Amino acid sequence: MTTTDLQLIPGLASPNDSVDALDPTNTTDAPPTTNASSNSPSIDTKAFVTALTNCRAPAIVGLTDWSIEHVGMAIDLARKIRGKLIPYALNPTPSNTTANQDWRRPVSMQDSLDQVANCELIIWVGCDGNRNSITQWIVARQLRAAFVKPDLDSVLNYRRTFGNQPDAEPLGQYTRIAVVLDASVESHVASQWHHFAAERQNNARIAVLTLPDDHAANTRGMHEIMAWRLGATGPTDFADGSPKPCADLHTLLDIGAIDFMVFAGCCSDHISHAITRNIPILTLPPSRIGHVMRFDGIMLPFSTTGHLDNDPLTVALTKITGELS
Amino acid sequence: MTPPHSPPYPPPYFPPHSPSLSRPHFSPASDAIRITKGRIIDPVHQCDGDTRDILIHQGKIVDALPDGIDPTIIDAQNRYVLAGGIEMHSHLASMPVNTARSIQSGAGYDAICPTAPMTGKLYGQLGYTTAIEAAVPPAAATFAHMQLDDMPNLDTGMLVLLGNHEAIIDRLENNDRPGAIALVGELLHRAGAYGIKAVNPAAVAAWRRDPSLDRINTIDDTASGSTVSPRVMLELFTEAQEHFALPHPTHIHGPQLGEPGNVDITLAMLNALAGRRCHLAHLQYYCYGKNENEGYQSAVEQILNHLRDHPQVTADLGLVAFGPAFTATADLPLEFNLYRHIGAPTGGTKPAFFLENGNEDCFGIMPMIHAANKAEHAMQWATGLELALLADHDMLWQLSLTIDHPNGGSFLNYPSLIAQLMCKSRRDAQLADCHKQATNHTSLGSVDRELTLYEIAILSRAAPARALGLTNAGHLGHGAKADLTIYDDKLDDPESMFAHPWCVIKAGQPIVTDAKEMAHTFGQRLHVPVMTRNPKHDREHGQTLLNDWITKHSTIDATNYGINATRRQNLTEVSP
Repeated sequence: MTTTDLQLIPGLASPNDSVDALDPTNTTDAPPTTNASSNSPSIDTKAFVTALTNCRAPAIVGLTDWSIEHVGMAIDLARKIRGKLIPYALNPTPSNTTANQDWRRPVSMQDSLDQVANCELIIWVGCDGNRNSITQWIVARQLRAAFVKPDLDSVLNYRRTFGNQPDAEPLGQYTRIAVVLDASVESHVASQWHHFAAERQNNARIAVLTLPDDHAANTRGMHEIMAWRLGATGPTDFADGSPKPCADLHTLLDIGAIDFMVFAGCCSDHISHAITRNIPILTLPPSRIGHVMRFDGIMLPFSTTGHLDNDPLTVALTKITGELS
Repeated sequence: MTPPHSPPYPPPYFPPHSPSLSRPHFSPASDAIRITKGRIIDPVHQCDGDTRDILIHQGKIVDALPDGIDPTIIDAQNRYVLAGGIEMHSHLASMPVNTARSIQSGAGYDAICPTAPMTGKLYGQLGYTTAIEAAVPPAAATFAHMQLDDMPNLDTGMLVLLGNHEAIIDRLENNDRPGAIALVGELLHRAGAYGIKAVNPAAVAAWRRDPSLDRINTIDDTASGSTVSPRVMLELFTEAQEHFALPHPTHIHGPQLGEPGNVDITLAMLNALAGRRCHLAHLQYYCYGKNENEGYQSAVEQILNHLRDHPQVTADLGLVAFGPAFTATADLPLEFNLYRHIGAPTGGTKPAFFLENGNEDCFGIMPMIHAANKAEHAMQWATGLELALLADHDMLWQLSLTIDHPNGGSFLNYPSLIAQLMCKSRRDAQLADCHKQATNHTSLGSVDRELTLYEIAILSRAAPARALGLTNAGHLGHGAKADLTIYDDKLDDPESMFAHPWCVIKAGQPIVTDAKEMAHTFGQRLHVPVMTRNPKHDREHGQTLLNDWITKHSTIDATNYGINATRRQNLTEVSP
């Protein structure tokens, strides 16, 4: 395994990450918070089982740092405890986490990094090559570039111009073109770029790639397993045994719909809202075993060493799920 | 599960949620079962309703039980016993299907693509015990395997998309045929695959290079500057399938799918492969001549004549059912044309997704509704049934029952389609509701034939097993896998009969009893160990070629391409 492949997945936890120490004053009645770093040989499963048995509205939060396999185990656990599965701790949910698969767009001409690497022209929208490891990687391979502002007028202008004159410069001479959108590009602007790409399919192979934001980590992989296991990819409630959509983390906290949280992420800033509300929290740190998915759908192994069955996180999740009645 | 309603469209009849699954490690059931007094329908052994017992032990059908074994008795009196159904072409576990899962409910469409766990359960409830995922790019093999891992009740396998793989095209353009064959083997091996899938071979790659080439006119068309035509690709795959002794021949999604007049190019393609094994996917879509208005005219007879003269050619029907569907295909020019004509004019009510993968196959998906009052859909429905009804009894062995789920509609439509094949009045009632083109330009209305249960067993069990090269499936003889379906005798209502099997046994374990799901189990992942099929094959050559190509053209490390060793250990080899 080379580090290069994973470098194109921003925000993945490094092997030595552990969750920041949580404020011990956030609770008086609930079990004490436990930090368990991925370097520790075992996780205190008894504390989890006790807490999950005694609470009424548990939630598992922040799965974007977990491997696909471990997200699957989290789904099983959430179902077992009839709790909530909140994929994103951050709020609002970053729009680009679903940008490459937004069903609200009438048409999506999605690109892949493989295709981008083979393009003759890259149209950068709202960003340049200095943004992160992905953009730098693209820049190292691009032949030509154009830069466009991330506003609606710009893309509508493109549609008008090239709709009337498909062979107009600067696009007319190229067969393979990639439109690379910054993570911050608004969804309605992104949609127009997809329309633009769809309109020109008889003249050029054009597709659109939305860059992930810096916290994306394994968001795409998490989406995919939630889709094939549950048919849905957003916050999910298993209260009646079957998955149903529910509100995001902050809304649930505001209405008091969570009384215990299993936090699966790496950065406690993401759950500061829960900490200030004195919700008891236990953390399960990410592991490096299993598979993750790059934002454009390429699956990669997290690590070539170690075995999923022996991994401490796997063992802990299996034990917790098994001991819950 | 409630049976589908009569037209216009059946409602979604499975709950929109995903069940919990415990995950027993697969092992054949060790319990013994004796199925007594059942009427056996086993075309492989020419058994058409004989009453005899079936013995099961350790997941297999046996002639006798060891001494001291006290089997569970299943009384199948007045019931029909068939082998478990075999779905030989379905889209179950690929990226487009999973994208469909995540957009369908949000987009307001019926859940045509169930979750992976629900897919397995529903197939099991219908009496199916084997299913093949029809199209996976080799680089996405692990992703597909993971989804199949969560699909209970089915032995599964996958066909990998090689028809427009740039690494293979590159070798052919460099006149390195042995290298191209080595690459085919290496790609099959890396993916842990069952066979080769060629979707509009070479044509999609040509479109990638020249966007104006969205339709090929002959099997010798190429992109400018390329020497690789559909004929060249198909000949290569045919040679590769013989080199590696693949049990299932190249699975071909041909050019000009669904177009009036495409029978000509289909026959040209078949003639180019004359004398050699090949399998035509969703054959119905290629059975069209042109009528006096340049529209659709059924050309089923011409296709069947070719099949009659070439018994080594197999095909799956690709039926169409009216109601909601999802088109999901790697034939990107086709899908894009569908979007232009159907999706785009709706202004967004049919969201379409296209993914450009660059070097491997791409895909497109779009929801749609097959409507009986639309000429094209009515023709597709009628022509599919015609194919099965006009085929000689012997030719049924070359045909497999499929709906190309989710393209032709959900696989849950099988009971109603089987009823239409078995009952003239059922299909005549549907034909009366169809656009008149189906009456005027097919012979379906004048076909009196009603398929028997035996013939349905050929189409849904024996023929797919034969086409796939599965010698221990699709029949009830000694040594076969204990995959069985037992139906109540309701031949006067075949739709209800097939929608609610009385008992389904998977690998010797009952999963449906009294028409209710009682349990689930997990099947095997079938694959062909290509590297051991031909002792003279030099694996190192293909390995080097593929690794070099990945390093040069792909965005990932060569060691990350394909499945890992742990997964490979859990594959089940299919022996010749």
